[in-house]
Amino acid sequence: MIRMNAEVLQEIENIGLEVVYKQLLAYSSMMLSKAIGKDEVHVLPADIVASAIGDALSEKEWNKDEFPTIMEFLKNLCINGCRRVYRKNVFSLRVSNDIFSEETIQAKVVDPVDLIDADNLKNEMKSLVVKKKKSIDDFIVDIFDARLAGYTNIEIAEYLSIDIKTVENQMKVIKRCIKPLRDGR
Amino acid sequence: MFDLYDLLAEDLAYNYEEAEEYLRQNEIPADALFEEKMSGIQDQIRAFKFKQGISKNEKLLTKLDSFFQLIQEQTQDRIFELFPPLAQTAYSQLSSDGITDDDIQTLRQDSSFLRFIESIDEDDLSL
Repeated sequence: MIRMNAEVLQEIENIGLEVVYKQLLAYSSMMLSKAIGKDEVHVLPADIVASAIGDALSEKEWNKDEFPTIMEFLKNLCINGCRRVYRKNVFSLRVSNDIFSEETIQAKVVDPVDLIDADNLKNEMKSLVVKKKKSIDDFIVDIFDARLAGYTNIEIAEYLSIDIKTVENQMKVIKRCIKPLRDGR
Repeated sequence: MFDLYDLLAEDLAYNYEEAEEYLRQNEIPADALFEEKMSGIQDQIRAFKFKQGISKNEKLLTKLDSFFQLIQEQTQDRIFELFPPLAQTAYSQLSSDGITDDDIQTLRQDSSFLRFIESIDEDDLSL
């Protein structure tokens, strides 16, 4: 018995399965290479994307209120896959020896290098965004900070009392100016 | 942390040219990976479509049958409406106006009337 979500299939085929796969592959590769910094990271994202598309077609419920387009839905499934890999890598048990008792200690910790890398990237991105700020009334840096804090474009527009179009346009400017950092690792 | 990377990577998920450029620059064999990882899903999609096609075909045939049945019934009704049986017309005329030579000619041409004549015993005719 083949169980498949015909609507999801139709939406994917409207874009093209190969196009969808490659876009998500590039996206997931980028996310993971930044998050865990592996050189041979491309095999893992390939599995994550295939799994995300398979899940979307068969078992996952597509909540259109949360994810209005099929790409947003699939991108979210890929992020979740990347997060799982990231947690497995970064929060895996790290073994060290207690210098006083000489006992082996296992603990889940974040590698400080990962935190420093993320912090550096954030600073680099912010310095590029700050350069784009034209005047005191320009909200571009605030929008950047709010986006990193996890706010949506609508929430940012409400929070800053500005038009949603302004936020969207500024987001495009931000993405253009941080683009050189994509391959910077 | 993922919000940070998402900000950097988001465009790749929506822009095919940028995604292809990224895959090429990072030497990720996207075509080979697509063939390898998606072949199972493509098989499932084909099987699903095939199954959907069969059920659609069955539905279509059922509808076609109903359509033919409906057309047949309506055609019969229409024929009876436009061309009432000649014998019926002839008998009704006979009862109201009496019989003329033309009526006799018409009745003879009517096959149902001829069958009726044939069915009558010769003894009855001699009356």
